[in-house]
Amino acid sequence: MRLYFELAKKSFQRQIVYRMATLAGLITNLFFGVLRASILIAVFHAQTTPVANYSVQDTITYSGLAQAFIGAMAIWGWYDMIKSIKSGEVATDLSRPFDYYNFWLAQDLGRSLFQLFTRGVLLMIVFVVAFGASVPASLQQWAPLLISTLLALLLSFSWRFLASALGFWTTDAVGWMRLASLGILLFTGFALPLAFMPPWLQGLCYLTPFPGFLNTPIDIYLGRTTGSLAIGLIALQVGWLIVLVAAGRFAAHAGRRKLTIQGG
Amino acid sequence: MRFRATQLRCNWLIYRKLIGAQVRAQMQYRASFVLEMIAQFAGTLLDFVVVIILFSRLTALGGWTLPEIGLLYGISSVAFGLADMVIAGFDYSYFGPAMVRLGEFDRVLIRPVSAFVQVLTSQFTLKRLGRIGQGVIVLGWALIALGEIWTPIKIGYMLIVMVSAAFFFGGLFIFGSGLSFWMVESLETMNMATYGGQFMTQYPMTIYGDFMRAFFTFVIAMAFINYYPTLWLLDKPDPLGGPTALLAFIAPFVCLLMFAIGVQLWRIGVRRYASTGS
Repeated sequence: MRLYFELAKKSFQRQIVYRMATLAGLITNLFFGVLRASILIAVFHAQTTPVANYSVQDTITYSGLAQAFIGAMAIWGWYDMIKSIKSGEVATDLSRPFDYYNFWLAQDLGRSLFQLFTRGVLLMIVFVVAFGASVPASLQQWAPLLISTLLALLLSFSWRFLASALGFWTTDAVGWMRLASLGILLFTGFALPLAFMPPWLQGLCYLTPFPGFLNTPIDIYLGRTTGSLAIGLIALQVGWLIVLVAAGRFAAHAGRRKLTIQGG
Repeated sequence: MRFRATQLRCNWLIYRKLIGAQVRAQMQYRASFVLEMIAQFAGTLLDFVVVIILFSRLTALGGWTLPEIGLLYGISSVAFGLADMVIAGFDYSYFGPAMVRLGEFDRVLIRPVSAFVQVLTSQFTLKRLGRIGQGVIVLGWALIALGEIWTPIKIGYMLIVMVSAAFFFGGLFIFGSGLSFWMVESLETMNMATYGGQFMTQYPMTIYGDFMRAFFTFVIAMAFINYYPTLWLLDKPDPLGGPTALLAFIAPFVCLLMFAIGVQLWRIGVRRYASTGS
């Protein structure tokens, strides 16, 4: 346990080195947040049917939060593990006396918590101050929000690990990672809040693990998901997490036999 | 003058040879190539899927119907895809870290071929055909859905606009590569202009706030990529009362100007290049 804590800490600290890059990422996310919010607000002005009780403020807040999660969830793809398979470094990692899954999990948690607390939080502060985004008022909201957010980060990792593990078979899993990101863009509610979708598409989304990546914590933040509904959605997150972790562990275990070590 | 012409032909031959090699190399990993192209196709088409979903509640967005937005989207998407495929060597996210920070650019400077041609031929991302393909599909649909408005002049103008818009986007990437001679770490901010610009130009400019609209008309002249040209194509009046025909007429020139600015900054950057310390 100590080892994984240290791995996470080191990974967190490594991020501090890239201050300028983090700042650049923050500004870029802010800009896209404003663009997406403008589009959704235009939808409000033009709508003929109400959008599931979202207010303009909810929409702005949603756009900000979706951008705030980009860094933490590596929404545009995560290539650390793929690179180590491609370069052959993976051989050293596999021969070390630790659990391969937890080795990456710890490092990714360190990375994503850093991203969340710097890029994510700063971005939300700007959104609250400059654009009037909301902040959860009650303490009853914060507890499920924190749990749901942590689960979302874990879900995101387990999905990216699964995609990366395909590299054990194909060596270059970049294409798989790109496809894996696709699922995230639409079905998590990143490109569009689930509430803005027609009911059949929302239903389709809830057949996948993806709403738990983003839409669930955001709706809890907005206070739109409360009480037993919140508990139910968090339980759904836990359920999918168990499935995805099991699948990832199985893939890494089975793939180990198929792995071709590169380099030399 | 004669010397100039020979040099140009020589560069063209080198360009064709090296791009051919690039394309063949990318076809070596056939499975990975196909997968990435599909991901490109679906990933970029997603932007239009979102528009379609939004229109399940609307009849018009900012005064624009779905086929009208399709036209904006198609022009922007095809132009961006073309630029991103052809000038991928100038993609700053690759050029900055690989060429400038690691000092790879040394190698370019000692070869007896124009540095610009070498960088241009160093990458050619065929998988962008996925992005271009979805743009063409949306554009084709919009052309048919808008039906009667088309005249040969309008079609010709649209093609010119698409090519000049590609130059605009290409110029932004080259500008970013030029900036990388001064700073590498904060290059991601250029994404606002490139990917941000592409995303932004998928929707009519009117839906963004006054500040953003002014910025993207007068500073980074994004509005000339497809907004003013499309206003003219659709015979729509400019909501701010601008002279639509005139703005549409100068749009291709503005795009070429933005390209020239990008290339010029890159040239200045090259002169400033001082390799790495190690």
